[in-house]
This record gives sequence, structure tokens and C-alpha cells, in this order.
Amino acid sequence: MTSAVEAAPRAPQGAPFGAVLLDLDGCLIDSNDAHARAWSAALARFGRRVPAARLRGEIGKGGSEILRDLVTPAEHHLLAPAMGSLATELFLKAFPRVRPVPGAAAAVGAMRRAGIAIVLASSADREVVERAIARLRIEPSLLGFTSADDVKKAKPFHDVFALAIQRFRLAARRPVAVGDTPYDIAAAHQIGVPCLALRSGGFPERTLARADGVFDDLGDLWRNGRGLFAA
Amino acid sequence: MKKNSRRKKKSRSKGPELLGIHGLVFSSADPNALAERWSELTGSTPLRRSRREIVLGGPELFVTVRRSKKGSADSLEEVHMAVEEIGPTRKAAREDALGGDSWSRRVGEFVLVVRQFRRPPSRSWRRPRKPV
Repeated sequence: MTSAVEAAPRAPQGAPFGAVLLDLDGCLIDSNDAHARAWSAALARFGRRVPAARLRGEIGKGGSEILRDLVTPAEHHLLAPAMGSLATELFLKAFPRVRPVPGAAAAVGAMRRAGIAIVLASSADREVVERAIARLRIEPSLLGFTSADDVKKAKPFHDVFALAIQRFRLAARRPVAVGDTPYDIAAAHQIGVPCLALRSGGFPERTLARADGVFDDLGDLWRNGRGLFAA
Repeated sequence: MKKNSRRKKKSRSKGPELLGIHGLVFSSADPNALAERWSELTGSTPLRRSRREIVLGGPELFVTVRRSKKGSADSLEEVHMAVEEIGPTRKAAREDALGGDSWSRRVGEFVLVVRQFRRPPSRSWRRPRKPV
């Protein structure tokens, strides 16, 4: 595995960071495959056959954006909410089988103890975020969370991150986004926030090339990138 | 002046947020001819066809042509309107085959159907498609 020092030879602009906008899927829970399967099954119920493998690279975007190239504009306009609700319902059914990313919850606890403010900023629905927080038992370590339910446009748009910064007053704490997809990177960069990418979400290395640093997972980030934080 | 503004307010009742008209139902003595013409002009393809009716398109955008008595003129029977949230009218709404909750009321010569899409459509409304 590439070490953090190789991946990010220079500290990104804005470091040291005092706050983290943390993505959920692929960072804290190993759920990207389960999301792809849920979307594939949901679309099939609407008569659209899209293999989970085709959808895998779209996970990390909000539901509306996932559907944009897969359905007609009329379907998108009228059926996207119903398709999204069904995908969430199917994902929640599979949720008990989704595993946490090893060491991620512990890293969140360690960051918090070091004085870093952590806000979960996810494109998933509120119910998914709440279930994940409860499952990982990280609520005491979080300042709060924002989800797709709180914004009109989820990732790759910046709204989830911008809302988190505004709602939890993080601007003065030099926030950094931590995510596992190119959509996290794009969303963060839209508002001038650096983004550290994690390989734990299974996205190909080349898709994370624009990140301000790449680490194996959250545990690796805290072990090898500790110097990036104002701890 | 005051009276007028009050009247204006009253006439604008707060209804559900409209997404658009997504379906029309016509009756025709020659449904094949009307459906074919519609298809030529819009490119929408038949979803299903029976002696009684022809359905073009899919749940999100459809035209149904029902057979009427010989010699009768073509007429508009139903207008289907999609809304974001069926909201306060929900009590009167019923689950339908298109995957929505809907209610209907007669408006002059036609029936207005208001629908919120909430779930997958029934098999009869699913279009066979190539995988993406």
C-alpha cells in the first residue's frame, strides 16, 4: 500500500485542519456495493435493467444525480423520488449485513479526543445516516450531521458540505472534507475546501487523483496524516 | 380596493405543487387510427394494445385511446396530472396501477386525475427495455 507521505508529499492548502466534513459510505461503513445492488434492484422494479456493476461508480452521488443518465427526462422529473425511496428501502433491508470499515469508528473517536470537530456530511438519506451513526456508536464523537434530506442538490454539488460548515460554524476552524469518491472531491473543491480521499470505498486510484491527499482508510489518515490536523 | 385583493386571495386556493400533465385518455371510434397518428407525431410507442384500448408511452408520460361507439367523435376523457406531494388530499387518494396515490374529480367534460408517484408501477405498466 502507498503511504500517506508518498500520496501527499506536501501538506494541502489550509492545513492544519481543525474540522472534518466526513463522508459516510465507503469511509465509515463498507456500503458502496450494497448501495449499487439496492439501486439496481429498485430500477428493475421500474422496468430498468441496470447492472449493479454499472451503478457502482455512481455511488457517492445523490439519488437524483445517479438517475440522470439512466432514465428519460420525463421519468427523472416524475419518478426519481419514488425510485430513490425504493432504493433506500432496499438498502436499509440489507443494512444489517453491511460491515463497518475496520478502525474507522475508532479513528473518529481519536480525532474527537484530539479536539477535531467532526461533522458527518453524506449524500445518503437521513434514515441511513442515523442508522449508521447508531450502529457505529459514534454519536458522542460527532458535532452533528447533514444528509441528502437537508439539501436540494446532493453530491457532487457542494450543498451538503456548505450546509455543514454553515450549520456548525466551522469556517474559522479550517475544515477539510474526507471522502472516498470523486464526487466528494468535486463538491469540496467547489467551495474551496480541500479534500482528503480514502481508498476504503473501492474507487480506482485515478478517480481520486484530484484529492489533496490519498490514504488507505480513516485509520491510516489518523495514523499517518496526523500532522495535517490542528490536534 | 380592499375587497378586490381579498377576492383574489380567496380564488387562489393552495393546492398541491404541480409537476406537470403526464397522461391523457381519449375515446375514439377508431382507436387504431388515432393512436397511430399520435405515435407518428410524438414517437411514443405502444405499451399494450387490446380491443378496448391502446396505451402509448409509460406511466410517466402516456396516452390511452379507448374505443367508443361507432360514429361518435373523438373526445378527451381524462387528464392525468402529477404532483410533488399529494398532501392534504391524501385521504381521498388510492393506490393505483401506475405506482401512484391518486384521486379523481370530474371537471366539465373530462375527469381530472391527480397523482403522486410513490412506488413501482404494476406489471401492466412496465415497459420492456434493453439493459443500460
